[in-house]
Amino acid sequence: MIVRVDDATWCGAVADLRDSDVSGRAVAAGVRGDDGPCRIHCRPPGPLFDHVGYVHADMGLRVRNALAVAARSLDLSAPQAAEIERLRAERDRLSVDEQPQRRTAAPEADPTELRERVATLRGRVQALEANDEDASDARAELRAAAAKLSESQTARIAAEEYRDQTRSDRDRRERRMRLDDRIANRERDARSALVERVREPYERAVFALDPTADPFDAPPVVAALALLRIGRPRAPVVLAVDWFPSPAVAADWIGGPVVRCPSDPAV
Amino acid sequence: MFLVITYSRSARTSLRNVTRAHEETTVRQFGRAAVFAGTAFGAFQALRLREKHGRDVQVERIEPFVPEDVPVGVRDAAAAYEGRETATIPYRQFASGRDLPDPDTMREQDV
Repeated sequence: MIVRVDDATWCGAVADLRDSDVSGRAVAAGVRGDDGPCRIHCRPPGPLFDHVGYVHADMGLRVRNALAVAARSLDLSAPQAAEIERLRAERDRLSVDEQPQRRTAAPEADPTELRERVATLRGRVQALEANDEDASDARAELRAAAAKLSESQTARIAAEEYRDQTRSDRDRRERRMRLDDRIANRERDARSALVERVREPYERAVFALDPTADPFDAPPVVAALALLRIGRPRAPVVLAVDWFPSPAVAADWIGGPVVRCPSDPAV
Repeated sequence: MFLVITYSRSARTSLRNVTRAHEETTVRQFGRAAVFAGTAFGAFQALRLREKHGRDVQVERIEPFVPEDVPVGVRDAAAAYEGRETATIPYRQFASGRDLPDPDTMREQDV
């Protein structure tokens, strides 16, 4: 790891920035590769970093979720993994219509009435023609009525097609939601399975830090340090708490590089 | 009233939040669907959900069902069939020979 703040540079497993005025937040951003006051050359952070990569007094932590992530950082996998992957693939194959909804007006005229009117007019035209009378007005009326009928039929067919499309789109959305529910359930099972696989070492680590703490209700800093002990953080850990006598001891405990920075001012 | 049906987990969560926050506007809640009052506020909540989740939210206008609005033949058929003596007889068979509409005619008939 190489850490640069202003003109100073640190190399190795430990960087002690307590005398600088760079904040823990800025250091964490540096680990993520942001170009800020603190630039850090290191391995890219994995998912565990998001949970416990920046240890500070008012951090929040969802222990069970973080434990599952820590287990994954050790390349442990849950028995549900294959099924989750299969469900995800199935879900991704379901395509849904992303176009905004179209307004369709139902045809106003009653088709039966229109059909009857066309038939009546046709009869009248035929009667007039049979009697050699002038049928031009009646013929114009028939043309208009026939046009209206065909227009109404077209509109009805379009409305029916649209309704069928909407229905099948909703069927697909419904299937997708069911799959999402199943995926979420399997993921919950997978998390529990992963938590079980690392529970014992985690409890031992919490006990070593604070024998009085309940592992699943421990203060976030204690839980985070225990998680870092059992997990494999990859990227440097940003430490803004006075728990260990020195940054080197912290790096030993974590088993990876540590950037010790001044505690963030209380918000 | 408005029937609101959701088609994604996030839309369902939003719907639950709305029904919890506005009990007076929620006529009924059925998990991923709900009936909102036919007030401007009910419409406002339905439209908000549609704005937020697009096609994952279906909104339909619904109204109370009044049996008298249905053709009398259909009502009589329902009453007669439910009052039948042989429980296992299918409706099609029950209707033939009686003065009752057959199921195919009813399927075609808009009411």
